[in-house]
Amino acid sequence: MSDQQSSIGIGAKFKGKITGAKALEINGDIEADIDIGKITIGQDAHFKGGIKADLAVISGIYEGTMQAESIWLTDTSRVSGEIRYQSLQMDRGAALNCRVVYNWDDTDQKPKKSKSKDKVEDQPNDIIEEDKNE
Amino acid sequence: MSEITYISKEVSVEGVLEADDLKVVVAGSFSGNINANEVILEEGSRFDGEVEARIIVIEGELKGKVKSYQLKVSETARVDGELQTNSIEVASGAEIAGSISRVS
Repeated sequence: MSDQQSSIGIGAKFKGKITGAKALEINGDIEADIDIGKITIGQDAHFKGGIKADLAVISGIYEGTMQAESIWLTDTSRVSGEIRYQSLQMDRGAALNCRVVYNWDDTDQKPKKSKSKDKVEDQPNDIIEEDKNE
Repeated sequence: MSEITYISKEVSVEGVLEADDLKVVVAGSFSGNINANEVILEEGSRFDGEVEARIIVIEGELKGKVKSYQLKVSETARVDGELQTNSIEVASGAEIAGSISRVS
């Protein structure tokens, strides 16, 4: 039991903070900020909040700012907010309504002006402003 | 398996967990509230807050309030708080401080 990975079950609702986890599987309804190695957001899951991860696999609904080395959006995923990635895989059917940033700069989380011009002409400014608060 | 909520050993959780008819197992630390059908606080776990469930098993350290129909306190448990239950089983060796009353 002891080396089993942490998980939030289908139908469970959680609001708060989760720290120290290496891997986490989410199938419930979550509002949290998470810093983690690997996160899996299942098909039945609804996640709201920030994620920093090495690997994120999304099959459910995600709202927030996600920053991960590697992101896999499966065919049932629904994403809004912002994703920052080094490597991204999207399956046919994945629904994105979000800002997508490649190769973010950790030291200056605000996207460079020249970059943001090309990529996010029609995005509201409030998403960029969120970055300052991090 | 995907219906169980499991908080593993190295993990700290702070917040409110509502898993009304589900099972929750805590091996790490949890601070806040849990509402579930069955809650197992494993040996080595730490819980601080309020927990309410039909069945509760305490094997770790608990501080706070407990409300359940069926409560089991194992020999490794250390409990400090208010226990409300209609049925209690305490193993020899368990440390309990606080009050025990029936669910009103």
